[in-house]
Amino acid sequence: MFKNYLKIALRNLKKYKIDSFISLSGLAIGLCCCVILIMYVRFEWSYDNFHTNKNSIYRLTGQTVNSGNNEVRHSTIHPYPQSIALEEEFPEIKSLINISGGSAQFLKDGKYILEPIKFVDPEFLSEFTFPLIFGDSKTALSNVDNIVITESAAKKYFGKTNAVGELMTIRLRDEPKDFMVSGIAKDVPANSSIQFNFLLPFENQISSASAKEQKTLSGSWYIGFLETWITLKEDANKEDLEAKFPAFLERHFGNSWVERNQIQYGLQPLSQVYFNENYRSGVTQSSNKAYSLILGSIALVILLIAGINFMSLTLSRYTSRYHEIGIRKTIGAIRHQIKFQIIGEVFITCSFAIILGIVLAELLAPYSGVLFQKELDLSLLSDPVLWISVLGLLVILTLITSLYPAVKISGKNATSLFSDDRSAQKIPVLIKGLIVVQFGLAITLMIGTYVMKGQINFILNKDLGFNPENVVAVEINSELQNALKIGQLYSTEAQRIPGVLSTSVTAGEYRDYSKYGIVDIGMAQMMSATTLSQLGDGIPSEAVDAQYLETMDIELVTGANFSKQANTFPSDEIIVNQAFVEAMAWDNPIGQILEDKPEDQGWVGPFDGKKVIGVIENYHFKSLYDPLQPMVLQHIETVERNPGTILIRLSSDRMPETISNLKSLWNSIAAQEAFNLAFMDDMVQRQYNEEIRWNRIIRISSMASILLACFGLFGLSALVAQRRIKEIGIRKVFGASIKNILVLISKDFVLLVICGFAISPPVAWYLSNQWLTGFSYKIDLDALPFLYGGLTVLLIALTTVSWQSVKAAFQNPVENLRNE
Amino acid sequence: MIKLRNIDRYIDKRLQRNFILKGIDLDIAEGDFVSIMGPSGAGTSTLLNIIGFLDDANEGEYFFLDEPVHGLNEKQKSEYHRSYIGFVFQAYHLIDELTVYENIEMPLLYRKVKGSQRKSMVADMLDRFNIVAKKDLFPNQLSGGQQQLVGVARALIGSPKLILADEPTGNLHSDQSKEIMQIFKKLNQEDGVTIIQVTHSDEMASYGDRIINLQDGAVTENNPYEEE
Repeated sequence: MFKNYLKIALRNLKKYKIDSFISLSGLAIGLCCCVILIMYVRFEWSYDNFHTNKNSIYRLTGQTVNSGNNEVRHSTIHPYPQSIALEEEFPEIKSLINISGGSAQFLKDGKYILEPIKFVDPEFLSEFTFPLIFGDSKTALSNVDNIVITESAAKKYFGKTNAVGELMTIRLRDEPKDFMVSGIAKDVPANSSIQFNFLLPFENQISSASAKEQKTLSGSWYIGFLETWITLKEDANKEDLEAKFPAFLERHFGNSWVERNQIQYGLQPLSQVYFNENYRSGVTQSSNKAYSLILGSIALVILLIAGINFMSLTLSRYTSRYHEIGIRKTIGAIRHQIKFQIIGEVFITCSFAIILGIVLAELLAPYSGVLFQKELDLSLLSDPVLWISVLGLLVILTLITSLYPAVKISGKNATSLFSDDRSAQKIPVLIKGLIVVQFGLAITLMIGTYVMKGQINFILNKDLGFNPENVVAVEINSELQNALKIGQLYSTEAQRIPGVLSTSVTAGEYRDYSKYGIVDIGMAQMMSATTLSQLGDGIPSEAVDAQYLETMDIELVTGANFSKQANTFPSDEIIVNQAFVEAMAWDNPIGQILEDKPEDQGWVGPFDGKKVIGVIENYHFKSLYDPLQPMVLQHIETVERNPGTILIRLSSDRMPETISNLKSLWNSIAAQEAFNLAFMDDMVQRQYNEEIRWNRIIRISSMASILLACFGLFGLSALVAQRRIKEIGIRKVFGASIKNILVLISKDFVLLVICGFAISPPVAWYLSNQWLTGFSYKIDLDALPFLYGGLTVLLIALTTVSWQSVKAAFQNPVENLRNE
Repeated sequence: MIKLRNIDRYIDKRLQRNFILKGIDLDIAEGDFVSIMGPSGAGTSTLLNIIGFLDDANEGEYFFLDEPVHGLNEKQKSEYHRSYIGFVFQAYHLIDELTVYENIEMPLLYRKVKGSQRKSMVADMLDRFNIVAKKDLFPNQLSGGQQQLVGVARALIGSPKLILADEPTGNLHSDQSKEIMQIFKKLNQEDGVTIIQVTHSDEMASYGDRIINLQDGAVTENNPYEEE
């Protein structure tokens, strides 16, 4: 009997080739997309899961409230003495690990290469699960002169994996120093929020600073530069420890400081580190949870659409099976046998499609990095979750798809099955409803995609207040002793190169930090504490020279720029931006002198007594995630800061030649330093890499879902056209034009798509608005994305349906009637 | 074998009740060869369907082998379909996706006949109707007469006590019709199978030994030949 059913099922698949192909491959493709997307979402959610101690590792977080505007600020940066005090005062802490990120110059083949590094306490290797291939985790970092590198770093620098005992020459500051490789770590898994290639003992972070800085870094409670990670003892619990923090803060920072800033400390479990929207950290990577949720939903929508395709095609195919089932009934098949046959058939086709989908996903998984722009290892087949959910899907899909026809058809008596055979031309209401849902979803996604695209274009094209185009940033190691001299010399010499319009030396390190998970370029990163409540909890400032405004194309609103004559000005001149003037509520800013010297505190703000000589237009020195802030420009020579970057504005023609001239100039001035040049506009764009990347993923996934929906529509319209072929023949014989036939067939489907369009805008509007609230600068939602979204989908759907209608309309009516 | 008492079959349309069959009383004994005749729409097919449990009467009583049919549940009806009743249709009603062999074999599958026995039974049938060469063809590769032979073979493979044939020769030309009728005749006489057929043709009706004339849902003449 089973063989008989199988035979019938297979022969039916063969008979209705197009729609079997569509329902099978549609489900397979849908499942394949869904599996890959879900695997990626699972990858995103699997961050830091591999640590065996993951449940006892926490990061210390701090929260302050700006007394001026009540803005809440989150930070993971802490001062060094605090770590020592924490460890001494709280016995429940098993171990405390200081981590900070930085960069260092590594000597390779006579040149220094800048590499990102991490300074960590020795317990880092034993508390986190970063196993060593060679070396001992317990002792590898206990010697200050040791370094632990990853397998791939070892291959890069030594051409072999086991490099234990080798020496590496590293310049943390001015003088190069030799470190001995004491351990080779396995490459860090892609789903680790802490990424590293080089680990140095934490002491090096402090000892690499200048003598004066060393004292501040190691002694000051007010200068934060490290992240504090804590593992708790087994019997300790997070809440109890957190409850002790307020007393700890008062003990060490004093009552008034804590109260004024409303400081609160907390412990963030390792599992929450990756999806932290509030805490931007230089040590860990992070991502927006919303995106993976969106992607997960899209994956489910794709699966739903593919499932609906499968259902609607299977259901409409069953209307042509009435005859066969009628015969079976006259021969003596009872109701449950008919049910079993239908359910069994659907089960077989469904499992076939699902196996196909899994195979497809397995084949495509290695290429998924192209879409996600992340190196990840998706091991599909070994994942039990996949198999369980696929099994669940098989059962659910089979039941949903087959139960309705099984119950409906098996309940009819044979005579009505014979007579219903020819009247089964209309699309059942259930299927109509499913199509409306399908297209409602597809249009919602499409609208969302348009909104996202609009927002990203808005951000990328927004007037930043400076012009990043044609500006290059040449890196200079600010730790060099004569960095300012080198910078100024290079800057002056570079101006002689044809194609260079203007140059400027600034203290800011204009680097692409996106690989550290930070979205700032690094402009105006110096943050100075202040007691002026109008300015909140700090004043960002940048040390620049007189050509800065010209090079960056920033407009001076009133007052004067810094003087171009070097060393001839008093050291109290500052230039502020308009936001600063507004915050201070000055009517006439020029000549104002800042007073930043509170009576009750034992310290003086660094901007106390500074005189405003000019006001510049606001410019976005931070990314557009942050609103504009008051800021200050100082002359670099007056603040004892070394330059971090030389900015150069180039003319747009013959750029490659100019750049190669800049490089040879660099090599003649600072031969030992690697020449690193980055385009400002690229850096600006890279701040939004994560948005651009996600937008791409979501756009492509949405397209896939729309194509799948149309795939189903195609199959269904083919089926309907085939059913109505006799009707079309008769109509043509009696004078219907091609146009009449087209309208006849397409009308119903187009109506359904329009119904789908009607339900999508409220949903799309709500979701888009939710997403946009994350931006400080955003587009206004207007009707356009909705119109575009609806029209795009309608157009694709119309093309799909008319394909079949045209085919039906052009067929020779005589032939159709004869075939019938 | 079959006892119908005051059978009504009607369709309700708003205010009107359309009777397809009204007040049918009928007795058919085992071994009868009955032809039901009547113009289109007289209710001949409906009557046959009711006799074959494919349709239910709205009113009246029906006893099959002295058992009340109106009291049978679906499972019992199927049981009768499997072992007592065979159907032959005007439109053949073969399953397009199955070959000749598989079509004939199908009733045995529902009766859970063992594989080897099934094989020999189907081979017997093929042999009997001279269609061995056609066993791997699909219905649409056969002529109408050949398809009806398959239909008859399928009806007979369960060795039914009763064959219900709804215009079995309606789509066939006269030679083919005669062939089918002779098979019926032989079955009736040699094996004692009860046969009830619906037909519009006097010639075909004459193969039977009793004719029931239906007019507008009522029996007008019961066995006109006997009166002659």
